Amino acid sequence: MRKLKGIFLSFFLLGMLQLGAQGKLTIDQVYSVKLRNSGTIIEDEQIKGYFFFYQSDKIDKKTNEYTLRIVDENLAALKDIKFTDSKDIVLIEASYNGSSIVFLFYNDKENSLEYRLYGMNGKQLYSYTKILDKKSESYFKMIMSQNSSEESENQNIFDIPGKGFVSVTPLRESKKYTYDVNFYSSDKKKTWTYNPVEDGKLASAQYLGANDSIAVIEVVSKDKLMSKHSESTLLGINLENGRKVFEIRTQDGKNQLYPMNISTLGNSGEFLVIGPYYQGDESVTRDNSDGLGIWLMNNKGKIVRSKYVSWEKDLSKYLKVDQKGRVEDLGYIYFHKLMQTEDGRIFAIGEGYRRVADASGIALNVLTGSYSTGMTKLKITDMLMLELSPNFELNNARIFEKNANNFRFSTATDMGTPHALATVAKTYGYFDYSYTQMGKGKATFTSGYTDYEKSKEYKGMVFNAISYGDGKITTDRINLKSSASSTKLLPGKPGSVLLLEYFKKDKRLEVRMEKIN
Amino acid sequence: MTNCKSLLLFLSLFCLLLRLPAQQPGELPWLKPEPAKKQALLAAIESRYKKDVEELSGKHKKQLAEIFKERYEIVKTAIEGEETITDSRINAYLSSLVAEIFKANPSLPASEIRVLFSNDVVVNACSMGEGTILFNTGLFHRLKSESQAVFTICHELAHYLLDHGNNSIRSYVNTVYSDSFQKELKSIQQSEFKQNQQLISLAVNFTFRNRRHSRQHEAAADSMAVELMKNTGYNLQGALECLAILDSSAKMKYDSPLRLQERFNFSGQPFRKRWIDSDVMRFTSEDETAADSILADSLKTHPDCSTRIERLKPFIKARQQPGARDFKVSEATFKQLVQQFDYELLEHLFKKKEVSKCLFLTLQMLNTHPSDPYLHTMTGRCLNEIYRRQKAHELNRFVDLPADTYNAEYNQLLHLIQNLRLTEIAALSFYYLQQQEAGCAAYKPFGSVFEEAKKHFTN
Repeated sequence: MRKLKGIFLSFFLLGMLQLGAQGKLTIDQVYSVKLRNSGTIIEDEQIKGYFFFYQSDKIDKKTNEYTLRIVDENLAALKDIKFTDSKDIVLIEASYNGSSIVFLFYNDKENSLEYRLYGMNGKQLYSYTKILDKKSESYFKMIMSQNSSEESENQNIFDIPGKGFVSVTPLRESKKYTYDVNFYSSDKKKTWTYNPVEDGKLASAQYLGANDSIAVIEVVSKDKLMSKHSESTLLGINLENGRKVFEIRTQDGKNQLYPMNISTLGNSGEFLVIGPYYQGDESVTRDNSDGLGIWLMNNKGKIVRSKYVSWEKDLSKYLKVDQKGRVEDLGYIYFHKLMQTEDGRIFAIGEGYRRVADASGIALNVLTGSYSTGMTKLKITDMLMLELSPNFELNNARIFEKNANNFRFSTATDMGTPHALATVAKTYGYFDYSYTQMGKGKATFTSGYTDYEKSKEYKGMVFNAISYGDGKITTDRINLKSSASSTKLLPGKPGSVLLLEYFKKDKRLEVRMEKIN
Repeated sequence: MTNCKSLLLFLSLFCLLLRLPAQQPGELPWLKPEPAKKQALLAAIESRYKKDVEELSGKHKKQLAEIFKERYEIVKTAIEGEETITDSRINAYLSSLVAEIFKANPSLPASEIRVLFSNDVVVNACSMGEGTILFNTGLFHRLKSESQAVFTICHELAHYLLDHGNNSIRSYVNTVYSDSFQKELKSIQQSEFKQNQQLISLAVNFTFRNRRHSRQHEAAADSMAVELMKNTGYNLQGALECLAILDSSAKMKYDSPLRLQERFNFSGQPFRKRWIDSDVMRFTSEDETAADSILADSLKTHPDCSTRIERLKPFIKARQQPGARDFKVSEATFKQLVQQFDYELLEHLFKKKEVSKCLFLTLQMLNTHPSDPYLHTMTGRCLNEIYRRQKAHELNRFVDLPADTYNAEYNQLLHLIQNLRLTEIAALSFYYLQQQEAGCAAYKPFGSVFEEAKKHFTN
């Protein structure tokens, strides 16, 4: 701690030497530190801290000195880690598993990923390197650039409490798109890799979660890149040795489940798989779902119990739903997040969308005669929250009204289904939904979305929060228009947001954590 | 004889004026800011600043003027923001202590000196180097005798008389703007690699020198303070006692457990363990190496108080005078001010929007004064303010966020504030004040605070 104090003292000292008159050099005019990037440190879907990755010096032509500043969830500085490394590294993500932190670095020149694990004394424990070949490198970069994940979620590296970290890496082999799953131990230098059996299909994998013994991955695969038909598989991998425990199609009779989340509450030998379901050959990327499916599975991948909440039969008890599964005024529902809370209830947060004719697009095409503009647009409507009992019965459906947004696409998308357009909208962040934060022990959660409000009292952006705690749903709103020149809101520790306010006149940036009511 | 008689009359009148009536803590004569005194102070510091700048000469005149301006702005802001106390009743007492020092040391430039109380919780006093000496109420309210207060003033006076502040500024400017330092900076700026490493090394060397001088300044000021004090008739042991108080400044005056689980447990709103739960990410402290220890010691501005005490002991022994006293001006006034500053600090923290600090000190004081209506009311005021600010999403402008660097008790309170939901804050304030209603009903401000808590609770 004293060493840290010493470091801060020297920073303070550098600040002190800022005084200076024109024409003369001061230390701070020469001293320069570049912030390369910053991000959140996630543990069990909760923000536990933030990292700030600085280039603090240039050692030689190929090497830089870096300072990795770690602050806790309350923005209190915890540690500065200094190291020298190649000038070509970037820091992608960080995760915390209760006893160590992993930082995932990407080296552009070496085409390699490095998982660097640090103990809670700030010292490096282990480092694991993974070399990507040329094709995988460009595929990995493409996936990274899409970056459709929420700021409160990791995309690449996930914590296994006290044991290590699991990473799912998108890869490309020849013309095939594939993946591998890696585990990096934090208590001893040990790693394993799971490589799927080559079956000629194009596969993408998403980590869903883990219980004490297995990691669960969803694999969506199809025969060809442009193929309309895709299938979902659930893969269970033994956390100890990386061996496959099960690999099952997410097919239950005529219902196909597209898992979005697993919940490991209760019996450690079982877990819940939650996601929208489709009947027959319908596809997640092209068609509207038929409802919400919940499976209780055991560690061998066997479905112990299943429940399907149908839009047509069940949701229609609460809201007016037509035969196509469209909710009145909302349209179709895109589900952003499904989660189970400590008390066993299941919640689904979704947002309405529908395709509508674009009057200005039609007019423009008629006027110009070029037909280069799309004649339909995607209309994003209200938020919807579903609540299911611990017995998986639909208990409530509630709409949270907001102003609609419209998104225009090119002429090509006039041919796509609204559901395919919604997938595109999600990838490009066109929905108003921001993120969901789970609280400590999953006892609470907060989902946030933005809206533009035009009323007599206020005109500007608003952040809305829907929170659950003590068995009750509450709402709150934060006006994002203030005396600051610009305001940005980021997810904070559970139940809080991080507000960044920039005051242009004073050249002042105010960063503060605020609680959601 | 006549002269003597009138002097006695004057002294007894003066002492009467200084003797404050015994009061209940909740009925203190709160500080009265005096605009005329404030204007006079502002005029005095401005005139001194202008004079100091006019007298500047030499190669680095411009750079020195910049720093003098910054110093002037700091003092001006403290006076304008009413950090400094202008209440004439309180200043009269402080002036009488200063007068004792000047009376014993007639050659001192009394007209250049302004000793002021500063409403600041930090256990400290400082000499700004241009004649202003700020005596923090946070230090004064921990003292036990006038002799300790007089040592504090003498120590800061010594800094002024030895010109330590200005010498440090000149030394800084002469070093940083010297041809050799500038040449070194330019050479670092032009170097392609390891620029920052070279700069840190340069800065650390510079700081070592600077801090070494600073520690030497403290030792010199201690010695001179005893010299200034020795003819005042005050007990020189006050110097050692004062340093011992500074040595324990990390400990709060009313240091005691907050007992949050007992204090905020009501049948209508039982205390919930999750309110004080904390599972923040923590790093363990590293084993300190010998090099770290040397670095930390070399960067200290002040020598350790224990070292200062040992150094002063023989010096004081040689100068101790028989009949020296702990109190000369007024023991009663001293004690009343010590007590009043406990409360003034709370009021000041609340006004300065430092609500979590105010609540913390209030709860600690309640352990010593469990039936004080002011303290119960202040607890309610803080909780109501926390409710209002949280509702408006601006709470963290008014409270600190938890950090392990804080006192453990304070940190637990900060976790409580962070973990409470809006409705729970309203419930805590309401039930807390309801519990105190019988004992506080006669205290006028209690009613409106309780009314506000009721409104929040029933909302």
